[in-house]
Amino acid sequence: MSFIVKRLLWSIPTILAIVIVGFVLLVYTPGDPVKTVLNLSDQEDPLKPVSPHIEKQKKEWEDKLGLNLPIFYFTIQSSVLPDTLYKITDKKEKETIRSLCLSTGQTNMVMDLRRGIKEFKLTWAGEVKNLTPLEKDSLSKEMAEISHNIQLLTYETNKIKIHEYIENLTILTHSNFFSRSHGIMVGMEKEINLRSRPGLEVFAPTIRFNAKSRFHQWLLGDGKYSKGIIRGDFGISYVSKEPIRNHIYKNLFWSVLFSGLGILLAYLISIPVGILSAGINNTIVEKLITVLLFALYAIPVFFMGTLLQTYLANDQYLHVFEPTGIKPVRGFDPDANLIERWIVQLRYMILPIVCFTYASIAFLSRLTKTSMLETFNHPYMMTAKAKGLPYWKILLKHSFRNALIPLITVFANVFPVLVGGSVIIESIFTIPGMGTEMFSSYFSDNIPMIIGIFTLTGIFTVAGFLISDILYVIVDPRIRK
Amino acid sequence: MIKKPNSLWSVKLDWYSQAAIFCLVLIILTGTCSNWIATSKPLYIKNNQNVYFPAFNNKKSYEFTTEQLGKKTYNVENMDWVKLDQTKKVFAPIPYDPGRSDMAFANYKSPYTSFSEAERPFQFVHWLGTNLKGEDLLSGIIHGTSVSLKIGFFSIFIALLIGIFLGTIAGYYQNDTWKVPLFSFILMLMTIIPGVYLADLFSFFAIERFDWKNTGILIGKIFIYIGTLTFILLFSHLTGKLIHKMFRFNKRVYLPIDTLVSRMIEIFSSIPKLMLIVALAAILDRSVTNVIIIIGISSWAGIARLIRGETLKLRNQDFITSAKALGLTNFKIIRRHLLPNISGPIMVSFVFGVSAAILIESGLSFLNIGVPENVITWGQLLADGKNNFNAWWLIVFPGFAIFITVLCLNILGEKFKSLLDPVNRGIN
Repeated sequence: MSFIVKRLLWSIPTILAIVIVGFVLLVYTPGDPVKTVLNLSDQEDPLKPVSPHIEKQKKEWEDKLGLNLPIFYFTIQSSVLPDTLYKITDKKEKETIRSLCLSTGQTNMVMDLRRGIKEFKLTWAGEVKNLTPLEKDSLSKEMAEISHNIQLLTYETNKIKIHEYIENLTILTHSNFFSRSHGIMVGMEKEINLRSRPGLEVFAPTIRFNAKSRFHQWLLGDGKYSKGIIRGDFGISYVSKEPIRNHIYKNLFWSVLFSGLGILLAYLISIPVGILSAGINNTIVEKLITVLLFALYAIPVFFMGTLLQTYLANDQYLHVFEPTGIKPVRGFDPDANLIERWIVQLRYMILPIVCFTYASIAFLSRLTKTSMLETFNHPYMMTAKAKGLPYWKILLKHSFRNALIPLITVFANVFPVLVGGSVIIESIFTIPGMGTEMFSSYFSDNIPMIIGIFTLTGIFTVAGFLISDILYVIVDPRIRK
Repeated sequence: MIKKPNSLWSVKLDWYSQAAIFCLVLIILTGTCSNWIATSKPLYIKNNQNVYFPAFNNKKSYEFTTEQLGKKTYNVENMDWVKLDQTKKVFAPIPYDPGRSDMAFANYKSPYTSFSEAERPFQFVHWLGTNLKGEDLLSGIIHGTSVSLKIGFFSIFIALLIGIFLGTIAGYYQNDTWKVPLFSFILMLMTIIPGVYLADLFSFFAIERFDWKNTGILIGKIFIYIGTLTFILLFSHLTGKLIHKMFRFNKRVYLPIDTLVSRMIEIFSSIPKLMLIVALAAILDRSVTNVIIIIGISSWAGIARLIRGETLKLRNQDFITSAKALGLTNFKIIRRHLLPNISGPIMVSFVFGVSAAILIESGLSFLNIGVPENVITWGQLLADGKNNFNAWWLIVFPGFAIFITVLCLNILGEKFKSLLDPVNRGIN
């Protein structure tokens, strides 16, 4: 009993570590989450300043995603960086400010530069708005140049180039139409001088402790927008803008169904095969089975899936099964009863289940065989033979029971597959499970979903290890100390 | 020379292991020479008494003299070598580039029909057919070999480096060998966070100074982090020792290396491998180097566990004890006595690891994750076949290439494993 309790206690730091890894991956993802959520383009047109409506939405999402909070319970950063750096949600902007501050050591000047650029954009856009169409036509070349220069200046980190762009802009805006923005640029050219190298003060840290942090919100919730992982809330999906847990519970069913059936079948088939090939060891039939299983194990699952889909679910060759999906696109026949529906659905389910099963069969039956062959050397087998027991009884009662332990250990590895499904198989056969969700999230940059599935499968793997350890103790009393 | 009895090299192999080794050598040769086996550039060209070897160098443009056009500069990117007159040419065995469309053979030409359709020399047959854009499949498979092998070998090399390092120190030192002064221990614990802080700053300045913006930014960062942390820990260890000597405070504690490494192994093996790889791939840029690093850092845990176990078995054996009694340092014992004795399991895990890494890489590129789209891989070629089920050759041949490679590696791994088993060795 104390073994199980100890094991349970040890799994807590492991789960915490997995959660932290997930959080680190979430925080260090490049790109601006708010822009991904609101479908805003990365390149802003300086002529079209962001509308107040979108600004409001941005603020709202920053609150929801906890982006305006510091990352961890304490912050340790260089003293030349501004204190409120974490409040900037745009990762590119944040990176630019950090890089400029560290490479010049002049925080105030960098902040002045950022403010100046922002102000210039607004002023210039206002001045362009006031122009008449005729003036716009005559100034179009200059306007394009200015727009190009300001876009380059926005995220530039090279000091020499920044001065170059500011100079360019000063010259380009030197006309009566852009007098106010010209004034801003002249001011910036005079005041801002980034050409110095920083001193050793860059390495001096400032340490702050934060009552509210993103990690706290992610782990324990903030009582307003998120409940925290501890209560099963993995955040908000960037694509559907719904809580991730709704998606996960929908998808979990199909993943568990397919991989559960696959694993069950694999155990049901491979154990008899393993016992059989251990029983008839060193015969031609056994060697054939071994070679076949060995070859099966080396076939990549996507190759097998595509082959099955091509030759057994295709009008060109044989159309026995359905290639994709889990049920007819047009829905079931309304008159059909439950059993008929099941038969229709079986045509969709057999190929994925075969894909889930074949590699495990090869692996598990080899494992069964080798661990049974190991028991043959023990004296109790000799005793059983000497007693005159029938061969099959020796195999099943004496050998197989002692060969069970490795099979149980392997069961721990089965657990995460059960939950996470298989990214490859599910996306080949378009099963709406966790694997497909992961796959589509990869392409839509839906990072919270990826991290959510990652964390969940990690937690379930720890649970699987725990269960297998407990089973291990039950089967083999020698371990209990 | 005295032959070592029962050594791995003195064993006679079965015919199928020999066949597997032969196939693997062939695959590795194909992979390393892919740029010269399958390329549209001629291997040898003679024009106007000048001799060139275009396939063996990266020259961007050539100057050739022909009767019709006279002297003219040709750009390698878009030139048709076949139409060049008045020259002696020797083409590569497969005279097509991967991913370069051949309009005469576009729209899924199968391996056999393409032979009679266009009037070309015998050598210019698309042996394994083409895809929609008329890209040669065989050339793609040959170039895919090099990518797969590169990713397989280098990623497992990274995993082995981490695994051997952590596995041996955990197995050898355990929790009761490395005694440090209490001050050192406390200082080490205290300086980890400042170490990370400094490493972050150092990596920023290094990237700024050496302009690593595009290439190797991840590798550079990893090295700077490891270097800085090692330096800081060493520094705090030495400082602790100094304090210890100055104040004669005799308290010493054992470093719990084994517990630390075992926890790390458990955490890493608790994270499903494919999920970790997809999550990392979503965060990092798409490049072959990043795929190598991702696969490497997500598959060291199994290797480390195996090596820790093997080291534990050897740790209390007589030859290690006598080496200690001779006064050898721990490092020397690990290098000279421990590592040679666990080279067998290392080799087995290397072979199986490469096969697993090749499977993961081709699975990822089948899903169009990880490896960039302009790099041609087996998985990508196979995924191309899903667009048209009539084009069976696009599915069968790349799949077969993966299957053969993985099968050969698995046969070799099994053979090594059974050779290492003392029961089997005794019979031989």
